[in-house]
Amino acid sequence: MAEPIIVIEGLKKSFGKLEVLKGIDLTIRKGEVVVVIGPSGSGKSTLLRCINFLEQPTAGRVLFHGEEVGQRLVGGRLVPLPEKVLDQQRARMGMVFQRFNLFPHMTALENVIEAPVQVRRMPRAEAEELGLRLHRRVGLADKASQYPNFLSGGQQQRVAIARALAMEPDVMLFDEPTSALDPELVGEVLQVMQDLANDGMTMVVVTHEMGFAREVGDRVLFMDGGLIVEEGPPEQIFSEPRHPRTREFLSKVLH
Amino acid sequence: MDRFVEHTINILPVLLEGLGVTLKLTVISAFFGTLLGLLAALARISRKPFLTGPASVYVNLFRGTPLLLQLLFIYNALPQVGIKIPAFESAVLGYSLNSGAYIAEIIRAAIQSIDRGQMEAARSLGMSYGLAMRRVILPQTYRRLLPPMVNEMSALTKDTSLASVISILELMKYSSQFVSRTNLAWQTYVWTAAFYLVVTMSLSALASRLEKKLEARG
Amino acid sequence: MRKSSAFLLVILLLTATLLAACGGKQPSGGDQPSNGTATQQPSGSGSQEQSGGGAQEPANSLERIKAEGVLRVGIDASYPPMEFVDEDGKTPIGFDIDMANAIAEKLGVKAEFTIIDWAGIQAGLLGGHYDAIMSSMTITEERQKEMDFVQYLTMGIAYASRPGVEVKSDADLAGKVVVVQEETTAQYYIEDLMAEKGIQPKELRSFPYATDAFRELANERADVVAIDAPVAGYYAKLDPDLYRVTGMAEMEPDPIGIALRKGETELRDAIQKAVDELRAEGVLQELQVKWFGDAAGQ
Repeated sequence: MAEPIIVIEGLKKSFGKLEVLKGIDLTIRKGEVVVVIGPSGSGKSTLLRCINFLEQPTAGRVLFHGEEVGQRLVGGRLVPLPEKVLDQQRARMGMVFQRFNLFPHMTALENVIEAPVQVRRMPRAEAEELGLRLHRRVGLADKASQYPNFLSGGQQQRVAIARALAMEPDVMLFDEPTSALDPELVGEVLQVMQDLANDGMTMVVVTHEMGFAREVGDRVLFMDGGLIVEEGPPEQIFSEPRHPRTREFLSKVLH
Repeated sequence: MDRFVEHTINILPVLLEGLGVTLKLTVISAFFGTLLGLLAALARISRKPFLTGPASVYVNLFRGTPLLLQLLFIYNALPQVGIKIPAFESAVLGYSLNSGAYIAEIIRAAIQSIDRGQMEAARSLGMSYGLAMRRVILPQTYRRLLPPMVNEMSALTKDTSLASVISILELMKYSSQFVSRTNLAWQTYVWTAAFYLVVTMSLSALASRLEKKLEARG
Repeated sequence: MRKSSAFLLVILLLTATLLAACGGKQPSGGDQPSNGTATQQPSGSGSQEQSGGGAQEPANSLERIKAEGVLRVGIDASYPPMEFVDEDGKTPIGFDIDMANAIAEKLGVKAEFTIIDWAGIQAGLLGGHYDAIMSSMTITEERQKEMDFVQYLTMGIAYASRPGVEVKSDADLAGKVVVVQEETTAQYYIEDLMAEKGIQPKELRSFPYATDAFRELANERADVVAIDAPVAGYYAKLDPDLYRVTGMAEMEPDPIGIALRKGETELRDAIQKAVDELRAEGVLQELQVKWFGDAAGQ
């Protein structure tokens, strides 16, 4: 069995009085592509964002390579860990956002090399080489010197993927990466993601793209009401869902 | 008409000197005010109570009390507790503190207007808060800062006319001294107005140029 | 990286420039002339640095003034003929300046003038930036709560009318458009006339500066200006076709005094003595004739 990269134990998250995650246990192993589906409000994005501590769990813990992320339980209280440690952990996780979040005041290439140069202290020439390589990998070699607002949504998202890859992460987290795209641009992004999976990247993908889940996923998690209701290989989830809520959801989205 | 020309020739050198003082006061105070404002803004958004507390007190105090009071206080009340600062430095201190408080709010608003996703993206790449601020957030605020900052700098330029209450002779005071001496009001003030306009319009023009340059990148 | 270091360099340079500009200032007991401030010395003598440490601290302000050789006087030079600026737009001249110089000479020191806006002139005295205010300040009960005064002059209120109008006395104000300078004795006096004596001008308007009031006359938007007699005399002399001094208010002339910080009895006594001597020697009278011309008060 491949080593566990991420281990989530008893994860709970409340926003004020609203409990969004009611207790998640999950292990993600090296090379796995885990796809998380479910209705809106089920907590799937929150779960993803807890992994790199963009959201602060109210209970439970997230372990990355065996180390706690963001905070630890000390004598019954959750105590924050030093920011520097968190920064280093985040540097080894890549995240791709629904709204791309490219830095608009930098070109595509500058977006991609920013973190390697500033965080990893990579020499700029080396970083530019890396950046151009990644641009080619996502199919945007000729767009490297463009500013984001001159790129289509699909192109921007692919640059965002390149930017996350530039830090050579151990895992890539995708938060509904195609939900904000025009339908005709979805395919190019999903293709890049599939290539990534084929190259062996560990991925956690929150998405509504059932085709992708079926084709690329190793494991599918169905979430509803803050809990993982059902999980299993895609063939099983999509053809023979066991839980009534899973069936109900799938019937709505698969028509 | 001859009287006007003659009067103009007489007053221009002194008015120019006054303009020099006005500019000096404005530029130096703008510089320190911006520094202060930036620090206060960052402190206010830091979510660390030991930073937000003092910063908020500073901002509220200097925005909530009249500039006139602040100047008089620094120049006249502080000596009574042993802090005696010469007039020009008192003025710089007063204007810097005052401007800084307004600039703090300008910068804070600009920072908070940047989409949260930008900071999230930067942090998720492993950038520290400080690095993210410096490389991602603040550069994006420059374009948004231009209009309110031009406003503030113009206001500061005009506010310097208050400095005569702490014995600074600047453009406005020299002007009113001439007027009270000669009773040639419009013949004097037309030049005063022209000088202030040159300064404020130059600021606007500079801002426009900068705005265009930043336009490309967004 | 390059951009950040350039930015840092600029900050350092500017800070260094500023510190250099502020450097070279000597600390002293009084206010030193610094960039753009209004300290004028009639004959370039500077102030000596105050001896601290082992040397004797002056027992009171009079001694300090004598030790430094300078009497610092606060004025608002926007009030001809009492205090205003010469043709060069910078050198203070006027009745009060001559008076201050004369008093300083009696004390064996030189007078140095700090030009400061009226709104801040009292605060400046209390803040210790000068030792006396000689700026046509009327002695009032209110002011005497905060400051001590040495009276050297009285000033009546004159009526200056535009051509075709002849206001000779209080009663003549009835039906006229009257202008005054804001927050002056003249304003309060006329308001009093209206409230207590039933004399009804057509309108009473006030302006921040004396010149504003006179301009109203020149524009024929007003009929008469009520203002301190010497000031009326000065502007009438300046533009005799526009206005003439036609009468005086029927009031006790205002006492005008040199304002000092409370409790500085030695200084006050010395200045009082100087004023008395100058009066006895006829200097006061000479100055009045020089500066007020034919509108000379008492």
